[in-house]
Amino acid sequence: MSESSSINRLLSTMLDWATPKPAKAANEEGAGFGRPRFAASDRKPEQVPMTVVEHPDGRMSQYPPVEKWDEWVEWDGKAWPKRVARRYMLIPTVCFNCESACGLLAYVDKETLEIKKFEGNPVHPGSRGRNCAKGPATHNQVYDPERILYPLKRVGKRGEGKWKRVSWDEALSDIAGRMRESRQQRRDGIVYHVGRPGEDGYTNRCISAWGVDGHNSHTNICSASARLGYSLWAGFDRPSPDHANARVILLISSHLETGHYFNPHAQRIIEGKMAGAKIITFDPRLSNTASMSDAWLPTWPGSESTVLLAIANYLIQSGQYDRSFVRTWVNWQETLQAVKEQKLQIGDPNLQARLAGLDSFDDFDLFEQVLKDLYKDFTFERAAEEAQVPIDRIRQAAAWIASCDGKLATHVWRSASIGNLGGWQVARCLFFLNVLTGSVGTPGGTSGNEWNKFVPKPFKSPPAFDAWNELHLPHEYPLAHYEMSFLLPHFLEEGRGDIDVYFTRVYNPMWINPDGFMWLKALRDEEKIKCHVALTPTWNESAWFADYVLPMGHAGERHDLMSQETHAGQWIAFRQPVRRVALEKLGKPVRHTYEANPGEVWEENELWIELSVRMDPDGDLGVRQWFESPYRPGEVITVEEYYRWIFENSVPGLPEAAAQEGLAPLDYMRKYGAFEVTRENYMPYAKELPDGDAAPAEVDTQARVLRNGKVAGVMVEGVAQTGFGTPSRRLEFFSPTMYEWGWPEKDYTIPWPLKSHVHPDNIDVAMGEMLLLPNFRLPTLIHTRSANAKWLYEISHKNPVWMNPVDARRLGVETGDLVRVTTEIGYFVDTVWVTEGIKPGVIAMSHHLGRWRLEENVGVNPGMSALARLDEDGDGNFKLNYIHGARPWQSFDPDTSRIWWEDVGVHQNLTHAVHPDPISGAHCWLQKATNVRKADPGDRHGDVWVDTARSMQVYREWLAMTRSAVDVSPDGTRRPAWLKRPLKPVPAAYKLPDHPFGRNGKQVKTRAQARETSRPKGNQVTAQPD
Amino acid sequence: MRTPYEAALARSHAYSFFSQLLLHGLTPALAGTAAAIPELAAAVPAADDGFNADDAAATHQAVFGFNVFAYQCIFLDPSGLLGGDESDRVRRTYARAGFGVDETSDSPDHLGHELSLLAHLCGAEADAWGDGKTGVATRAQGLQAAFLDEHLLWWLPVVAETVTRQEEPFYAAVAGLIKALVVDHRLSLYQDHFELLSQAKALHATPQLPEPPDILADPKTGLKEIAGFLLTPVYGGIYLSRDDIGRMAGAVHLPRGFGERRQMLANLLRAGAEYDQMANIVAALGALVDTFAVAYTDYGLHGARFGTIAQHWLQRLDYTRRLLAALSSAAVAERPLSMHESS
Repeated sequence: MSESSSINRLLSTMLDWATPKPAKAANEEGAGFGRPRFAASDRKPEQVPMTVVEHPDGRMSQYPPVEKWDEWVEWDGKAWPKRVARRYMLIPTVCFNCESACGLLAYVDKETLEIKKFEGNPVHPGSRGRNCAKGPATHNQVYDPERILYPLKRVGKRGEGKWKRVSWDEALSDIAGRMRESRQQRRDGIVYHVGRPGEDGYTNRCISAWGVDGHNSHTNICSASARLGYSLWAGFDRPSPDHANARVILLISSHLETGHYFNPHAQRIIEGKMAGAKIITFDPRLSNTASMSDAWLPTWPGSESTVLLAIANYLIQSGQYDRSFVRTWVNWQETLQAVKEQKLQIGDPNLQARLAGLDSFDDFDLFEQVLKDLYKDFTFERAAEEAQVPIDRIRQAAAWIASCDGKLATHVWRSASIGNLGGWQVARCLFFLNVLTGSVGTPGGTSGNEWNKFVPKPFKSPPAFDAWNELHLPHEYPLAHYEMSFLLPHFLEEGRGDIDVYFTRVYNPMWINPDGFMWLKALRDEEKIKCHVALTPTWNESAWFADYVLPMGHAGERHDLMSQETHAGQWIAFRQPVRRVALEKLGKPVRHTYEANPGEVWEENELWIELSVRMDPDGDLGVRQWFESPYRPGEVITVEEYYRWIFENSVPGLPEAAAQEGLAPLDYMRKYGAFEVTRENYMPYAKELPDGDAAPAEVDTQARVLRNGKVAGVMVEGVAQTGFGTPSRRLEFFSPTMYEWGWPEKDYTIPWPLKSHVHPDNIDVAMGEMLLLPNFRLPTLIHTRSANAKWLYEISHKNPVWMNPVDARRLGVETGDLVRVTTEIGYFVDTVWVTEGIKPGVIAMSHHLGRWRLEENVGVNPGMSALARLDEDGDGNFKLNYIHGARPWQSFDPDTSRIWWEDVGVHQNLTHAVHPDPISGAHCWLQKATNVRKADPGDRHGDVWVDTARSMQVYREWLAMTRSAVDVSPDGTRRPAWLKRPLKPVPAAYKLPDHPFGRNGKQVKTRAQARETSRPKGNQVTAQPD
Repeated sequence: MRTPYEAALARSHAYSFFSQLLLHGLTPALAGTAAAIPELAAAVPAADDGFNADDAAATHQAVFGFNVFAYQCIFLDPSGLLGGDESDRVRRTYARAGFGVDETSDSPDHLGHELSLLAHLCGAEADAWGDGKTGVATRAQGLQAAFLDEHLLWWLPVVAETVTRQEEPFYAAVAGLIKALVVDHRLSLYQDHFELLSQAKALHATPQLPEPPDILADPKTGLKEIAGFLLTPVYGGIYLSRDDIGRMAGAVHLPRGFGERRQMLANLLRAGAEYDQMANIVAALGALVDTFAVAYTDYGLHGARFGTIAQHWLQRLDYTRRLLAALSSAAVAERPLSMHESS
């Protein structure tokens, strides 16, 4: 067949061909995607007075003045030595790379709409114009050549790596249809699993509107333990230290001020230090913060509570505590009553007998005697021995704390609290020092986060749902803070349920959770997770096993409203899609944010609106009504309208501030990106109840003020005051909740150390065992999103095993050698870094590193991940081997060809067994390394092997430590009603299930029956047979 | 016999069809048309229960997402990278033709976009014939010829041969048809149709392929440099896809390798040296060179214009043959290549 005849036929066929519509409509207004181009301007930069911010630590910085933000001309530094002027619009937004919500200013080219850079926003009250490295690196993420630009749908089997591009319309229709079908059948079939929310309340409102118990968080691998400790004391579940005004700053942190939270905190810690504050850090690792501290206490993990109680004991025995504060705000009378009733055991029989004979408790000295009796054995010597730190350092720390004068700023978030079995008591013991020194909500003290964070209400809120998701809060964990998220695959494996539509939102559960291969099994199982939708800006390991991968925007590509407890004030910050805002300012309105973003990258705010409306097009499910405009009745709300209403109606002072500039509140927030609601908010618990409540209708026997039958405050010295969020409205030293809910021993009802699973008794170094500390992070990492930020990855990209020279000599290894670390369920192979910055007997590895991908050209960036081969044998054994490490690659960004590193770390989490704390529900991250040795001849860097059968075994061992609500609930409910949940259902949903999982169809026991049969007698955590 | 109007319209449709195939793959909307073209019909992927769009999308991704990066810059630019001078040159040509391209997902020098431009120009020509505006039609033809001469004809034989080699029958057939269509199109544009445009032509001189560096003369040349050379089509005269490299490795029982192509080939050469398979690898590369040589020679038979272009590519193959011979000699020498391993 000749070519000419072929072409002849071809042209004949094509003559009448009607061109089908292209698969994708051109994005006419939005910026293209590729190497950004900037336009030269004939204008020259003006000499204008800059906005000068003088920081309290003496630094000074300058910013373009706000009045010039719409038309800012400056020389392009990259064009130097040529003088090329560029014109920008400076659009404020909010960083999305941790939870601090620092302010950013995007420099948007006025002609090309490309973003030149992100700098600090000087009017943001929290970050005050300053950012850590993660903020400017947003630019890397926006222009990451490997980012996901279009909705993708799985082709073939899950995990096969075949994807096709689909339209938003197709994706929305399919997913919304599945949601509708699920909602029609059940109230626990849709799950939204979120990493860091990065916003306050928007999505939770959507979940409530769907009427499902669908919120799942990552809290139980993050902050659950600390939250429980703080909750039991005060009702709030996270601390807000006033570092800048402190006299003593005490940090228990392998995480927080070393890199997790908060650029705003770091600023204020240094301000405090410059003003003379002493910094004390507990950390087995010489962190950045430890290196800047006046006292570094490299405590053996798990011993922190003992050290804290030794300091507490010193304050109590020497009378150097704030008696007045403790007498005023602590539930000391309730505690004495508990001693009288032998709910709280003390050692002094005479004191016990005396209390038993009293009818009421008016003498505070008795409480002081109880305290002295309870804690008398917590000596400095005992603390030094358990913690393996010099006793003088503990003494010095105690002396500083004793003289803090009510200005003790403390913080624990992850580290010891999330590391250890019973880690929640670390937070409780730490806050005990705040209580004893009267440093609660004071200038320089420690507040509750709720006092320093402002979350405005939307135009209307859906009611609580009538549902309880057994996969999130099962009966075994009645006190968990919050959902048992990291056990989801184990629950699925046990057959506790299934999921119809599973959203992972900027979250990579398979990679970030322990026991990742169990996640792989779950994500791959289409029977258990029927539809997995990954909402993510970038590829990640979990998205690989999704059905849809939907591209979501980075910091400058989305709307969100945020607030954080950065200091003693309150503020809100508005994250904005900066190109959309720029287009609108240029007179080009945009309907959907993806029209302005690169490719078809969208934002969740608009996605949820569209999805919810499509889920309930006729309104028959009752969902649609919550997504109708407050301004245009019956019509679907726009994202502008949502925030417009909030800014007009829910933020005190904002409408007035806007009016002063002749702006609408929404325009004010578009212009400034932040608003300070309250400059200072100290000791709100001591505020009198508002007028009308000063003479309360009723005061109960606990001196609580009741209004309309509900607790509204507490009487203190004859005055009705706000009090705390606990049932007693006071700071609860003795916790009736713990006592009532099955944990009556002293170890749990009052601040007390619990024996960690990595206590020295459980680590036999002579047998090759060590303690693996995996829960710290290098300061530039962003969970799994730093892999799309080249600047950040160039700074830190590998996670060698930190090892003390003593241990290195014992094992015969040097820096750079490979070691094999065996855990309870598998092993990994990594290089060693020999350093005196880690305690002997402990090895440490930064998490957030060790990214991998299974295909060369799909998945995580080639420069930031290793290409891996994944094998399994069908019996639950999984093997991951690196084929090669990072490589330079070709893209429009010349920097991607300059990747100079190969080592991108090792994915250690795969080898971590799950350790659910039986009370807080937190994963106790510290791992017992059952063997650490020089790598075997066949071992290669990055090798991982795991036995998931063993994973399930360890899970069951820890599950057996729980005391199920079925056995211990005092009232037939699943959980104390006052304890927080991200979303609370209706009270009726708290009723225990008639047929709890694992009880072989048995009915729920009565409380009396349960107590007879299940309450442990000793102080040890004991197994609870199923 | 088609009228000029019909010929231009048919070409416009054909280019548009192929453009969409290359950019978006075989979608359900295109599958029917493909099935109606005899050369494609046998290779249209089908399933018992009908056309499988998902499989078709995955195949498209495998060919054009992982193996053949069908951009002019990759084939004609010495860097072998996207976004270089060649892309800008294409972009400028589009601008002259009044043609806009959506660059949100693909660089403008993607073969699909270039065919789209030709569809646009042929459509304009058809419109002009339809309106009886001969001058405009001739001008449109001139622009077509200029674009072909300045851009597409230069890399068409390489990319077509490369796609053909990817063992995907459908896209192999597509590549063959595109090449035949373009050649037929250029041959139809007689010189006298656009002599009036000589002034415009003078502004855009026919490109010359850049001369390859004599890396054999450089004592620092190592296996990585050789791999880089072979993977720069405008130097080596060939294009090696991942699958090409994998097939070669498989044939000599060496690891297939992973990573970017440059890394894969460098590793293969290194493995060949270590496991005494260099001669076999060189032989496989030589066979590949021969395949491209046949394609270029065949291309040159269409006329002087094609012959000139083919000659450029054949010259590059000559150098590559010398390079391979040197590599082979070094492999059997007592002391292997003096070229060092790192750069």
